[in-house]
Amino acid sequence: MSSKNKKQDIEDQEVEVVKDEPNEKINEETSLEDDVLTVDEEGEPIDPMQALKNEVTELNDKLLRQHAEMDNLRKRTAREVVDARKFAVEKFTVALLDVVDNLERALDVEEGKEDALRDGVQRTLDSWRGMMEKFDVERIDAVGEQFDPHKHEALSQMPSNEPEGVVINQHCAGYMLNGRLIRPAQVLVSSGK
Amino acid sequence: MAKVIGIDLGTTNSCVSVMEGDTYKVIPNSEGDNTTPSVVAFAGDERLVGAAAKRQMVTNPDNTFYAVKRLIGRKFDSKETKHHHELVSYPIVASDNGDAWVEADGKKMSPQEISAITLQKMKSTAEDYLGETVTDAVITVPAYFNDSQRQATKDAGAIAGLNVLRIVNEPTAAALAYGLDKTEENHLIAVYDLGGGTFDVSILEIGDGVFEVKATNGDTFLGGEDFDQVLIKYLAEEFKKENGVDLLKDKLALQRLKEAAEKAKIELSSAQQTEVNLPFITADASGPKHLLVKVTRAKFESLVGDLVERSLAPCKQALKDAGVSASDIHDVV
Repeated sequence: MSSKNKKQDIEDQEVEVVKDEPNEKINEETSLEDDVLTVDEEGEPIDPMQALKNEVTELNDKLLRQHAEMDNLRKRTAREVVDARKFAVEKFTVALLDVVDNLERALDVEEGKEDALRDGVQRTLDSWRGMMEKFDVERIDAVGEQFDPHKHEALSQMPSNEPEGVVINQHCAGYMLNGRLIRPAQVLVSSGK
Repeated sequence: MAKVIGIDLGTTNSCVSVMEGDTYKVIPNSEGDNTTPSVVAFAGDERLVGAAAKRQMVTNPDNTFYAVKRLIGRKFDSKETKHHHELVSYPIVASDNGDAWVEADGKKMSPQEISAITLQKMKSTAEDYLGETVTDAVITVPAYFNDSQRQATKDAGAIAGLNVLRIVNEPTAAALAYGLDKTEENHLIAVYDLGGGTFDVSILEIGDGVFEVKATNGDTFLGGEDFDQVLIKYLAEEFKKENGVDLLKDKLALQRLKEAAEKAKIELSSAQQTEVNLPFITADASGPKHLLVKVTRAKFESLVGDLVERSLAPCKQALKDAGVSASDIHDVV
């Protein structure tokens, strides 16, 4: 039985190949094709027109669903992009809040406890530096280095004991994010003696 | 072609996902979290689910329901129900047919009704994300769940308006997620699942994409939270040695300690050591005090040694029940 079905399948395929032949031939061959196509796998007669109609309905339905799915996907992706932008700083903000909390606690410290207060603020700063590292933010310290415009911004130049082009003072540190410069170190550069 | 969602209805947290193409996508809830606490609360007319319910637990202990999964499909007079009763703040009562139910605002409710509220939240999370109505779902349950517990989980789904296509064993779902079904020959695998509040170990046999649970064991009262607790205790002891102040008695300090301990534990799974730095943790007459403790992975491992030891007994028992030895196990998840 199954081998019979297989044979039928093969015959169907052969017919389809015939159908792909140039158009002029179709008229001549229609009668032949009809003979084969009127019988389905179980040997029941089928209307080729109906079979095609069914297939069209099925494909249309499939296409419609695909369109709806694509549409949903597009909307979802758009929303995700908006959300990603809106909440991109979420984790960073949460980390920053620890620092804010500690600074608020520092302000609550009563007068006369300056040593413990300073110690606490120093640790708050340490915790922040640790956090920055986790976010792949790298600090740039320039003093003593050769001036490098890719990492440093020169605020002024003045004579010093250092050779010309060496950074002698740093106004503020620079920072890189994931290897990209987000703020150059602002520096004073030696013009030599 | 309607979408089918997969729900992990956990004791402490729940999670929902959907297939996108040939991979799965975990759906974040409206708060942006991938997991939702399995906590439900009734506060006056308001019904709270998830993080909000968890946050108001302290102010509303009688009507905040958590870990009800431990009650699902259980009898009121069972050993497990009694043990659970001692640990939770909400009332547990017997239903007319002797099942373990809870009482909310004087009204008896089944654990499946409570779970259904969590499931509804997972359902709407998925609907918000997909932009279409979802009814079909697959829900996971522990491998040790008996028929009545499985049925009760199905009932919870039905109450939530879900058509539960299948109840899948959690270890099976884990093995699938790791692609372990794509093996031709028969494999034995062990699934070690240390959740927030419970620990399960299962021995599975996989062959031709068919899973058979050979044995399962566990400890329903051992979980990740116990590991946090051990670390909290250690940090507090270190602080006490240095400063003579017991942070465990200070609710605000304890909260900071809890969060820091959980973070440190997570960091230690990838880093060899971490630093717990909590400035201004407390204050006494001499001024503010700061906590700074370095924890190495080795130190942490020695601290949780007892807990790990506790998880080994169920593992050995499961191997014994499955009639296999540790060397027969092909993969561990």
